[in-house]
Amino acid sequence: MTDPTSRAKTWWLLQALSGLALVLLLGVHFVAQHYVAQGGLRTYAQVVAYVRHPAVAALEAIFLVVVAVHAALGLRAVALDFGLPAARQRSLNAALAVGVVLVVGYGLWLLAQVRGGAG
Amino acid sequence: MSSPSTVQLRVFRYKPGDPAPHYDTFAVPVTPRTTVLEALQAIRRDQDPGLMLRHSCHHASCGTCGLRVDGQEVLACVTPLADRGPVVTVEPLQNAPLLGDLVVDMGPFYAVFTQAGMPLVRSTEATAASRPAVGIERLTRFENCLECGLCVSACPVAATDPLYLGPAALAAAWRVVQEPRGQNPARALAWVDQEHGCWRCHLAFECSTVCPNDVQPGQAIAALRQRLVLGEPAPPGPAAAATRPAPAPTGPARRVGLRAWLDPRGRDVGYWAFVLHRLTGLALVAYLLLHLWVLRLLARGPAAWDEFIALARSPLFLALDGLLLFGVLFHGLNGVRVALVGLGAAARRQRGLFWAVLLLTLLLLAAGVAALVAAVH
Amino acid sequence: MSAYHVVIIGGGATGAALAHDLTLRGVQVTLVERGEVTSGTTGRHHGLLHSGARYAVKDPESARECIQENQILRRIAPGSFELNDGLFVAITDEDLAYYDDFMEGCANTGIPTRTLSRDEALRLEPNLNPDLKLAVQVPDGTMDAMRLPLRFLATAKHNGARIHPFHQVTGLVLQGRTVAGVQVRDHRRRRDFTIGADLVVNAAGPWAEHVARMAGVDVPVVPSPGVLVAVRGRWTNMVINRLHRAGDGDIVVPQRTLSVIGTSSWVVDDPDHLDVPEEHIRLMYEKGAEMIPALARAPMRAAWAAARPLVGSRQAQSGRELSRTFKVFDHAAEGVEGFVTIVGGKATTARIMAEVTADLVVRKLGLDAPCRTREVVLLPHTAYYA
Repeated sequence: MTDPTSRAKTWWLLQALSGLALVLLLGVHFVAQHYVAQGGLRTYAQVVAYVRHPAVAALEAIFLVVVAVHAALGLRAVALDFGLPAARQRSLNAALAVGVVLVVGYGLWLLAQVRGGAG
Repeated sequence: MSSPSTVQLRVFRYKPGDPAPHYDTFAVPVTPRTTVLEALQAIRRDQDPGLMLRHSCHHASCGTCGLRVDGQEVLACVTPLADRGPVVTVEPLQNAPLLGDLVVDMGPFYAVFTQAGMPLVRSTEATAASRPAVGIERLTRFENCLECGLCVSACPVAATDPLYLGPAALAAAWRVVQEPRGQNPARALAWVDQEHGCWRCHLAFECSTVCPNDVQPGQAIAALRQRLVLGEPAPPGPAAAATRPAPAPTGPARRVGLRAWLDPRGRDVGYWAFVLHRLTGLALVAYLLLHLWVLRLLARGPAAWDEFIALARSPLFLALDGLLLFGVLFHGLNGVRVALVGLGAAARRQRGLFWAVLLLTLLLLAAGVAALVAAVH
Repeated sequence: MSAYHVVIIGGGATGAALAHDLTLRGVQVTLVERGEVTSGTTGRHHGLLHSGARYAVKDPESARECIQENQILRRIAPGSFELNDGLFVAITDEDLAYYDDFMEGCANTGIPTRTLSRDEALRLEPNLNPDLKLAVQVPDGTMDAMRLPLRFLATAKHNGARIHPFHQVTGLVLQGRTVAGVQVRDHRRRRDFTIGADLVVNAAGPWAEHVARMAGVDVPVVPSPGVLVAVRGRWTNMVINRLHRAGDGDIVVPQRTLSVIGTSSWVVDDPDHLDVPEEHIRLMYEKGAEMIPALARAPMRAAWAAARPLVGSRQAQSGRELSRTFKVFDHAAEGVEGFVTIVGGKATTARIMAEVTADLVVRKLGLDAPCRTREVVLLPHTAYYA
C-alpha cells in the first residue's frame, strides 16, 4: 500500500534539487545579463541579439521553468507550514500548477516575441 | 556565604476566565546559586500561593519545570538567576494550551509523542568499558529525552503548524529507528514520512539549541530524512507494511503563530537563518512576478524598453538591486546549507555553515554591488 | 465502583499508589495535590530502586520491605528502571570491618548478595576508586522518581479515580469530631469548594503534620531534609554505595547521563523552607569522590534538597537515627473518625504503604476488598496525560 503522503519526500527533494540547480542557473543568468553586457543593462537591440543565440534561449527557458517550479514549491511549503491539512493539499497543488503553467507560458511567449524582433 | 541581593521577577499570570494575561512583578532575594525554580517557589510560599508552577525532580531529569526565561526555553531548576539583569521575565512554554500561570497542558504533546513508540529504557553507551554484573543481561539506562517540551516551544514551525509532529516526537521516532527494542522501525519511518512529519522541518535547529539533555532533535530529523532518501529498504513481510496511524488529535493548541518569528529573545542563529530564508523566499517570488511583468516592455519594442533601461540606471533602482542581490545570495547560499544539512550531511556544523553563508553573502554582495555600479556608470 | 468515596490528600508516591490500590478495590477516589503531582519530596529523591541493603543491619524491617517491593515493582512496572544492580564498596579498613555484619544483615532480610574482589569490581566499573578493598553486589536499580509514581496515577485515573493537581487543602470538613470531607482551594479556577468524603487519607508526606492539625490531631512526622548533587557524566552504570553504616554522601545513583550523589541529613520544622548549604554540596563531592574519584572534577548540574517524611519523635537530632519504615495512624484512636494518616517509608515502598493503608481504609468502610496491586501491571506514565 502506497501511502500518498510519503510523496512529501519527493516534493522536498524536488525543492532541494531545483534550488541547487538555480544556484547555478541564476548565477549564469545574473552574470550574463548584468556583467557581460556593456553598461550592465542591455538596450532593446542588444537584448534581441543576445536571446537570438539558441544556447542562450534554451538556458533562459530552462531557468524560467526551474525558478517557477521552485517558487511554487516554496509557496506550497509555506502554506503547509501554516497547517494546511491533507484535504486541501490537492487544491493548492492544482492552483500552484496552474500558476507555474501561466508563468512559464507567458515567459516563453515573451522569449519568442523578442527573438522574433517584435515591436 | 554570599549575601543575598534582590531580583525582580516579572511573572506571566493567567487564570481561565481572565480577559487577557498580565505580568506580576515580585522582588525575590537571591544568592549566586538561586535558580529560577527556587525563586518561583519562594514567591509561591511567601507572596502568592496561587502561583501555578510545575516542578518535580529539581535536577533536570523529569522535564516538568520547562519555562521561558527572558524569552528562551529552559528548565527552571537548573537555570541560575545570577548574571541576568535586574528584571527577569518568566513565561510559560509556547505551542501548548495554557492551563494557568506558568503551567501548560502536556496532553497534546503526549498525544503525538507516544505515537513514536519510543521505550523509556535504552542500552547504555556511557562508560563503554563497563561490563554487566553477573545476572545482568545488558547495561541499560533511560533515554535522554525528558519529554519537557522545550523543543516544541522553540520550534518556529510548531508555532504556525498545528499538525506538525514536532521535534520531540520526530527525535523519538529516530531513536526507534536507531534502536528498535522490539518496536517496528519501518513503522516509525513511515509515520514521519508525511507532509507534517519530518519534511516540515526547515532546519531552524532551535530545538537542538534549547534541548536540556542532548537529544539533538534537529540532527535526528535530518538523519530521518537521510534514511528516507538514501536509506535501507524496508525488510519484506507483514511487519514492514507501513500503515498510516490515526492523525493526532489537535486540541486548542495555543499555537503562538507568526509572532514567534518576530520575538528576538533567546534565539540562536539557525532560527534567524530560517526566518530570513522564508522572508527572502517570499520576497523573491514577488520579485519574480514583478520582473516578468517588467519584461513585457520588451514586447512593446525598443522605445519602451530603452526608456525603462534609462530608469534602471537611477540610484534608487540600483539600491533596490542591491537589496535584491542580498536576497538572492542569502536565499541561494542558505538554500545550499539547508539542502546539505537537511539530509544529514554536516548537521552538526549547521551553525558554522550559517556564518559561512552570511560571510560569503556579504562578500559577494559587496563585490556584486561594486561591479554593478561600475558597469552602469 | 462502590458507593464509598475516599479523598486522598497528597499527590506524591504514597498518594499515587494509594489512589491506585483503592480504585482497584472499587472505591471512588479523589486525590488532591496542592502543586504538580510528585512536586513534594517524591520527585526529588535520587531515584534509587532500593535493594534494602543500606538498612540490612540497623533497620531490618525497612530492609525487608525494600527488597520485597523491589521485586514487586520490577514486575508491575516493567520498563521503568535502569536495572544494572548496585555495589557496596569498601574503601577503608573500617569499611571492611563492617562487611560481616552487612552480609549477615542481608542474609537475614532476604537481600541477595555476591561478593566481588577488588579486581572483579574494577572490571565491572573501571571508574571506581582503585584503592577499594572489595565490593558486594546487590539488586539496586534506578527508577525515574517522577515517572514511576505517574504510572500509579495513570492507572488509577484510567480506572476512574479523579486526580486534581493545583488543589490545595485549606481545611477539613468536620462534623463534630468526624472528618467528612476537605475544603479545597482550586488555584487554577481561583475558587474554594468542599469535597465530601466517607474517609480522608492524609498522605502529605513531610506536610502530614500540618494537615493532621486541621483535624485537631498530631502525627509524629519529622521533616528531615538532605542535600543531593547531580553531576554531569554517567560514571558508573551500577548504583555505588559505601560499605558502612549510613552516613552522608554514601551513595551515587546513575540516572540517564547524570550521576546523583547523596545525601546529608538534618531536621527542620517547615518542609517549605529548605536550604542547600554550601558545605553539604562540598561534602557530597568529597564523599562521592572517595568511591568514584572522577566525581571530584565533574561539573555540577544541580544541587537541591528534599525533606524525608520520617516517622519519629520530635527529639530527633539529625534524622539519621530514625527508622525509615512507615506507619499508618487511624485517628479514631484519638476520637477522630473518618481520618487516617500514612507517613514515613521510602519511594521504593510506596506500594506496600498503600496496601497497608488501603487495608485499614476498606476495613473502616466495611468493605471486603483484597489488595490486587502486587499483580496488576501499571499503565505507562504517558497515559497520565491522555
